[in-house]
Amino acid sequence: MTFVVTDNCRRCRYTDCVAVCPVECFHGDAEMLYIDPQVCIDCGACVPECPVEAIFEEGLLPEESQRWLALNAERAPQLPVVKDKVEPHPDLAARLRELGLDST
Amino acid sequence: MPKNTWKEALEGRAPDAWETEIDVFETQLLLKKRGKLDDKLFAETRLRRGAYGQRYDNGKRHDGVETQPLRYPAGDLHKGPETLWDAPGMQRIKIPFGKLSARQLEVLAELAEEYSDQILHVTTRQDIQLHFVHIEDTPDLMRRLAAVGITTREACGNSVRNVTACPLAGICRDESFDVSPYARALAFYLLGHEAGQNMGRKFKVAFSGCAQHACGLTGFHDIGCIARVQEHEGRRQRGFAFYVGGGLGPVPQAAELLDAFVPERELLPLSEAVCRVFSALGERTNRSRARMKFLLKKLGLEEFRRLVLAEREKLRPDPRWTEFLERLNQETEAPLHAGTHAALGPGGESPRYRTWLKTNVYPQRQLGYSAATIQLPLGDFTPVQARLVAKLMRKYTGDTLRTTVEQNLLLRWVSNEDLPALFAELEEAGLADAGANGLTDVTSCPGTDTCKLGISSSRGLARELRRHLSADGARPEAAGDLHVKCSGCFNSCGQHHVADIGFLGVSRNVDGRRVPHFQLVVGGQWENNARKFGLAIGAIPSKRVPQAVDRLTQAYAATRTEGETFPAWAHRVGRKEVKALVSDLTDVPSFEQAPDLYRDWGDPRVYTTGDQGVGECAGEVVSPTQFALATSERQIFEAQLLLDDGKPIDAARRAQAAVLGAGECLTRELEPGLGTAADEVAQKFRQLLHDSGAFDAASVGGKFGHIFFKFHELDLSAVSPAAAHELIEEAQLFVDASHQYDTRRVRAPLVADALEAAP
Repeated sequence: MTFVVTDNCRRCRYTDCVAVCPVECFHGDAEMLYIDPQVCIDCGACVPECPVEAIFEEGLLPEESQRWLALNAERAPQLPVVKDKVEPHPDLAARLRELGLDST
Repeated sequence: MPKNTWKEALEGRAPDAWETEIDVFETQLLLKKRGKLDDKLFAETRLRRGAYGQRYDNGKRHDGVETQPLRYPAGDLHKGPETLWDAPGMQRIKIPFGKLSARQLEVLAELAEEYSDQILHVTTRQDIQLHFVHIEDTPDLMRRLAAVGITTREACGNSVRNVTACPLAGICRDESFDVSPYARALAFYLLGHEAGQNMGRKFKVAFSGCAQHACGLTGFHDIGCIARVQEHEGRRQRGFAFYVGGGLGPVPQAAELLDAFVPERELLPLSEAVCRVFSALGERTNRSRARMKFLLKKLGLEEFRRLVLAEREKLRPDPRWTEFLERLNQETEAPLHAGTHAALGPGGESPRYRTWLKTNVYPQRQLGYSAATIQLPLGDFTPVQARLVAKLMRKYTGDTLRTTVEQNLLLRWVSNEDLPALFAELEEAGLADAGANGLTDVTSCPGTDTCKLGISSSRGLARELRRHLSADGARPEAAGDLHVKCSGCFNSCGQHHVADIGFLGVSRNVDGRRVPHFQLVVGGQWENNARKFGLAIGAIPSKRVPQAVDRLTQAYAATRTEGETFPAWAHRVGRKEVKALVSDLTDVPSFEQAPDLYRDWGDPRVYTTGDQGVGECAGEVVSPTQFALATSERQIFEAQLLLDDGKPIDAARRAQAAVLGAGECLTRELEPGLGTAADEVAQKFRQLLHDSGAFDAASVGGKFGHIFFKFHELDLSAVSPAAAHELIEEAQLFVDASHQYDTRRVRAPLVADALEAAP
């Protein structure tokens, strides 16, 4: 089992999750974060931190997000570990509107 | 005739309901062994009786190089998903508000000796835990506890956990009134209460006698009650400031004030209403967001309050709401010896005694009496020590003591005159360490020693810190009273968020190897019922934590202003400055250069995170229907035993209970307001499940809904063995069909939908 970062993270990349990860299992590129399933210990500490509800437990992945399981496993090991919170993606505001999560 | 079993020997010593519950649990163990109970259902069943998993119970242990299998005699038999039957487990024993009698303490000592690794462990929520307990010993263990008035019911699982309270309740100089009887009343009211049987996550309640001290820790509980006396409806009344929705864990949340004054007679119904709202609307699929604090955040305090008050209005009055108010003085404790007006502890003049007096003894509100803290390193004590404490209680204090959330024991009602003698006897047993609740009295959760979720060794660290800080010159005077608390992971069982200096276990990656670390959290607030949480500073390699503590205590002692507390200092100095004090400690050299950093405290293996198991903190969410059907299964099993025993009528009655119970729970799902009268249930079962065809449509290979009516009208006056045999078979068919209905029917709308629908 592992937790999985899904589409909502793309071009949001808040990185609130990395601050609480007890095992540094988040890796990232310019667009989003990924969880390394070999390192994740299934604690779930990251889930409530994500403002856009992008992180799911493997067993609770919605049907349309299933592909992210393999994508996380494949991409995470190739990317650098993200240990500290960084600025969100520059397109954040537009992306939130796209997701219908824009509270303004 | 000699009594051969604990069941026989203790018959009639506990309330009937408690004895029955334990018999039922024993039967469930038997059914599990015969493969008749699902793993998840059994796991939640045992959790609700306090029988918890323990590290390595999946039958695997990493030896530092690779994972090795652990072999147990029962082979593939499981006591929960991935939990092997014979793997040792933990038994949590609920001690409401930490109050124990001498006899109870002696029984706990016996149980620790006979069933566990001979250690009694006091938890941060006033429970006692035994570790390395075999599941098959738990029914007798529970019977022996029940015989002295202790139940383990709902000690774990998605339920109302132990109700905690300030250990000074009743003797405190600053309390509004003694909260003990209220804590007891609420604990036993909610115990096994229907409103607490279908929660999506655990639920914790705490009481405090005052607002300003830490003792009750009401700031981070699901329900936190602070005693208050005020003018209400024209007269002085007792009541509580009523807080809700607090919690620690990875997302700590301070409780919010639901009502500034809840009169005492409203305490029970209002608490029940909160439980009902949480049960109905709390998250159940996503466990990471399932505690009530998330529901409160989602709904907002106003909406939450509206729902709770609406629920309160709907409750049918229950005499228990006020009955306990007639017996408030039952909790009053009588001292054994007369108090003396002499100053604290005349006579004993040794420096060790004087220090102990200063750090471990609290002068009670009642003149001439004191409360003495017995400091337990890591919260542990032995059966021999427990028996001695029981003896001292009978000799000096009267019959009770309290466990404390700082993992110590508190002896109350010691006559000041007796203090030197008490000290001498405690010292002989190794129980007179000074410095209680101060810098060296480090709190720790079980961590990687026994907890499946532990990431780093919190107990190993706490032991080392205690040793390190006890050395001469290691404690700047200003820092002597600081609270240091360690959790093995982010779940905060060690309550690190509210310590002056707190640690939580994390692991860090260095050149492809894992290195045990602790995240440093500073400046949490212990006072004022622990409502403010500390600042996260950064992760420090486990082996360098003692150095980090030294730097913090020294910097604080050197730069604090007159009278400045540690939290005030930490917040004034700021996160960046504090981080700078320890930042050079965070660089980890290679394994070859510093192999010691790659091993955890008290563990010779090279560190790994490979031993983590699946958390059982609150088990699986199991619906009341699944529990009810498991009850029916058990009743059919018992019916068969009764028939074998030559009791056909009793057997038929048990089979009848199985069928009617199964039918009732399925009907109740569709009609929550259903009464309990048999005819009403039968009529609704007919209407909603039988005539609609819904029940039979779910079964393969036959129609079984009609069996319900046969049992409803069953004449029990004369049942032959052959007839009873047939009835048992029919009952089994009906219960099997009920299972099929439960799995196949379209599920009721999910809770999330209910939440959407809430106005």
